Amino acid sequence: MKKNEIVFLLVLAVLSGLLLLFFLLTNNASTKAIISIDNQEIATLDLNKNIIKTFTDGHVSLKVEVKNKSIRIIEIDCPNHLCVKQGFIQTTKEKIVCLPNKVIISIEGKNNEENLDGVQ
Amino acid sequence: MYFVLKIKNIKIILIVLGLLLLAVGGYLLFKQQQSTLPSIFEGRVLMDTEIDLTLYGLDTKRLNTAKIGGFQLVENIDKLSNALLEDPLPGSIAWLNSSPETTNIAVDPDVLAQISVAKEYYLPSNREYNIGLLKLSSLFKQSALEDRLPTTEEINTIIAESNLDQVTIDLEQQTISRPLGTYFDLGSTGKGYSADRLYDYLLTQKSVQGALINAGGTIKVLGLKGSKEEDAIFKIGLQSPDAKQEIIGTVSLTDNQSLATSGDYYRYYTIKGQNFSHILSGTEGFPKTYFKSVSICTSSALNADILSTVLYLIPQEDGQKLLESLPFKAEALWITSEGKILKTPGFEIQFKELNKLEGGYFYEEK
Repeated sequence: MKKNEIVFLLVLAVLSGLLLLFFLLTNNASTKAIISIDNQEIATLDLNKNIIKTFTDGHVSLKVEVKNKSIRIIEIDCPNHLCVKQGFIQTTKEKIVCLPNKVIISIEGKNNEENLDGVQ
Repeated sequence: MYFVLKIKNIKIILIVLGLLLLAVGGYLLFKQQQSTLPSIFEGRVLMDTEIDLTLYGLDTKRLNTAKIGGFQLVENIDKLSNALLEDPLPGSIAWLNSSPETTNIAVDPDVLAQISVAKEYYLPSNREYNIGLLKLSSLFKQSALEDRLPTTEEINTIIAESNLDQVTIDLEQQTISRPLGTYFDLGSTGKGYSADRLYDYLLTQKSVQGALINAGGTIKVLGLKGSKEEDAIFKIGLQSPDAKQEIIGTVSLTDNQSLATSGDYYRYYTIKGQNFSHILSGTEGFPKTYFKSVSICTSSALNADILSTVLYLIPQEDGQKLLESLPFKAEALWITSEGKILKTPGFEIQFKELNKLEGGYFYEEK
């Protein structure tokens, strides 16, 4: 077996491996949470990194937690705290909405079980 | 010789493996491109709720233009339909409510269209569905703040003052006559009306091949998501009234179909630890408790929106009769306060395993 043949085969194997890795990664790692206040996007969070963070925009301040590829609101100033009680959301069709503060947290990426187009 | 053969084997194995991986990669890439059309999405807080637009089409730049136009349309309807707006636009609902006139008041076509359709349901609902009860909602809101139950006198005074029988509409002149004391509330119509108007507007946009309009839970569907057969179907998960993250079943919608749900779980007033649905009875004031939710599937989103509220307020048998008397086809799904699920035969839904859900749901076929 010639040396360049081995090199060729190794390159082929490495390329294939990389290609597969690329698909695996893009299928998995692209979930982000988008936080917007009063229709203005204020932050994007990678759902693969667990974090607790506080965002402030004008007179709205909210504390969110990212854990196990899901996100929730821990603290926010509103009358009923429906958004806090809702707990974690995980799929692209779920959403946390805090109407008094006009806060929306939505998820972007492809991890939608059963391919639902919407929920109500 | 033996050594060479071994290497040759490895060579073959490697080649096969490499080709296989390339094939898988290529297939995935192909699948990604071949599936649904490109889409854009935006959600905005409007009409005291969230309006979501998902548009499908090849030219995403033009889709964006269509999207912006769509949101402008809803912003306009919002300004006209918001009863609590200070400094109201002439012809808007807030303007009508504060008008000292009683006869032939000129109002905006967007407002009149909502009032005239909603009024059609007043008598068929045995006066349970009344859009002239803005003051009743305000009373419950205020009572919740003070944590006291509204008194029967307070409720009866408001109901007596708001007599929809005495409201007359002139569609040609675009005017309305109403007794003073009737304060209109378009909370049960604005979302559906906006979804219908969005649908009509998006139809005129050539770049839009498909759309999912979600106006605060009132959903209307347009066109296709792609070229395959299943791309004509938009699957909507119906949330459980007891646990929002759970889904009772999925409903498949196609072009020009709408789905609306009214329930006791989405908005309510909490008084003395008890939750009262925001859907108030036009005869008793306090909300009816027949159902946890009612869902309606029909072509017009405005009618779906209104019907889900109407049927929430009247017993199931009455609702069924009302549906049958309509000049158009409308299907319903009721979830009673005990968790029993009833539906008209035409309401197509793929149920989940109901016994595994929180809330004790069970389906009763009729």
